[in-house]
Amino acid sequence: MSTIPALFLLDSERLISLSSSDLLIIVLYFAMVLGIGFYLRRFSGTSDDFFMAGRDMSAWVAGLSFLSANLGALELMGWAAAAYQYGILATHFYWIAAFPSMVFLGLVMMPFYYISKTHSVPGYLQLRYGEATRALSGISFAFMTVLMSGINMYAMALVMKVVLGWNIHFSIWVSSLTVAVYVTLGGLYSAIFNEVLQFFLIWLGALTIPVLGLIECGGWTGLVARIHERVQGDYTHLWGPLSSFSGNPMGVHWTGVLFGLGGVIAFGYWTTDFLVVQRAMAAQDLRSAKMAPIIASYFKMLVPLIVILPGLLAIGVLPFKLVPETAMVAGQHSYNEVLPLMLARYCGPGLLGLGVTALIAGFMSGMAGNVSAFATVWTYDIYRPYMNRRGTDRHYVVVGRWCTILGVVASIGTAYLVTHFKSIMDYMQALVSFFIAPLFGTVILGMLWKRGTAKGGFWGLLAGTLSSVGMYTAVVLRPEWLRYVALSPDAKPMAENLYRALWSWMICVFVTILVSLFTTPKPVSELEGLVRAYTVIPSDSDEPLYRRPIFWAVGVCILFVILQIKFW
Amino acid sequence: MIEHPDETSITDSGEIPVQHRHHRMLPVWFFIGVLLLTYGIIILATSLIDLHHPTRVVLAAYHAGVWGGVILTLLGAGYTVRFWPRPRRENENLQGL
Repeated sequence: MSTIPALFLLDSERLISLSSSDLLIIVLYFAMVLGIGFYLRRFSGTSDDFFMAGRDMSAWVAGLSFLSANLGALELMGWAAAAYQYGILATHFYWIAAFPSMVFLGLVMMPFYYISKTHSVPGYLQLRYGEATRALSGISFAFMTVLMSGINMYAMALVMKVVLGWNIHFSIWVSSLTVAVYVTLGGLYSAIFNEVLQFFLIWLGALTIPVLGLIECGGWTGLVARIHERVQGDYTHLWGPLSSFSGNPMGVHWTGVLFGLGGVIAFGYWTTDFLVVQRAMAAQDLRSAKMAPIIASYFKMLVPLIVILPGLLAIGVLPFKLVPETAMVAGQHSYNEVLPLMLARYCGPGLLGLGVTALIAGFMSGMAGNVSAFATVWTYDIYRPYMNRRGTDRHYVVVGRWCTILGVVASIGTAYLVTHFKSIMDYMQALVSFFIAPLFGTVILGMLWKRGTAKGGFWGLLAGTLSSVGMYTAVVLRPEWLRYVALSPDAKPMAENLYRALWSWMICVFVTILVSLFTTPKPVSELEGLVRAYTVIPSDSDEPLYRRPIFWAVGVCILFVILQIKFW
Repeated sequence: MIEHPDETSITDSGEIPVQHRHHRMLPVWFFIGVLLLTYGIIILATSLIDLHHPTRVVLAAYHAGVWGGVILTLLGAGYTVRFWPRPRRENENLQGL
């Protein structure tokens, strides 16, 4: 089929030219997600349906949606670029930074979220600690979520401009209006349905690259040989190069990866970020809620096949070198273009459309996930407790729909703000880490330590967040202080993020414990279903072994160990 | 408890209790099946038309489009047929998710 110029392809400089069948595939995707939104509207009449998808999701749907909420195109393209830049070290973000925390969420934390019947993570904090902690957590989460959605939107528009030559305003408005329509209509149902759809599209759209790439290189051994020929340094081992800060391209030490990334950042993200936890909370029963993150962890372990491997393959097969965005000159390509470049290398008409659709689907479901989580937290944790406590159920659904539109409008505003102030994107990554790490300290102490008090929870969370902001600001103002935050003058920004998270979590835990020991705890009757000591967790010993979450958790643990040994 | 006609009841504390309802809802797998089947047919047709005029991609001789189209078509057809909406008994779990 011939390559046709579409009317909206205004920029002639583009990485990929789409054929008519590619465009048809993209148009059909938009038609399908809108159709799903209109179809699901009839099932989203109550707040439980709109915000929690009726708590009717099976373990598989909740699990795939749980993973997909994190598997946005920004993530895929960003980590493929990181794999090109840092080698297989980038895989730590999919293995050590995922499996232990996801399994921990399923086996240890999910029962408290589920049994407490809360609708959100800030909602749990309100039950466990009180209004002040909920307000702090809810407002910061709503703020962060909508900003992240805008940044996601801007990133998508930028990618579409670079890769396809699409006008940036066209991309922003078409994608945001589509998301606004289908989430406003179907609420969390729509978001989850489209996330599961996106899961299939991403896998099927990207799988061509590793398959053909490995054929071209002559298998994994051939790829390793090509990488050694082309670049200096160890790009193919996971733990070996981490014995010193200077011995690897990331500039991190194994302690930072193990405790900062695998410990605090991963546990913070996977167990307390409502964007992903909301999917598991929408499961139809406790067993499904526990299974959802465990199912997701298996697929998360496999994601490097379609993200990290293409980055490594690019080192081995591309006839030119990619460069950092800041060092790009005319005719060169940046690290961030590695995934589209590999798509264009192997995919002809049709398959190319599928790959591009997978990227668009990833961006859009990322936005939808953020917007639906924003609507839930805003309605349940800000509007209802502080603005209108006695509204009807229908009223809250209407508010949720308006919040969705408000969230999309705010996201568009953020997207345009980022267009003018691109450094905001860098600050945003840091802002996310300000809240995630200490929040994990607050939540985990709340669940496992019965002595934790309302004041302890609030001041611990505040101290952890402020200390994280303080460390970040200190290093911005005095870069030489990085040696104190990251424990080495050789540390790079990646290491700073990991250690800053670790310190802020420790400060949060320390302050929470200290303040709690000097303040009055809640009565036992108010802690039932919220704290391990006062919660009866239903036993699943009557279930056959293969239906128990612990069985599958052990399975993913074995898979993890095998992969670490294989790529040590 | 405060009852609202045709709505979920709300507790005095303002909490909306969770209720499990079973909707006559098409499962997400059905939509996935339809989309993959459609994509499979489009990709297969495109690749077959281009079979004798291969595009300038690496390893074009492997005809990835044909294989991809076949896999998508089979996968999509399988899901579509398996989850095609059928009349069900009243007491059956209608959701199918």
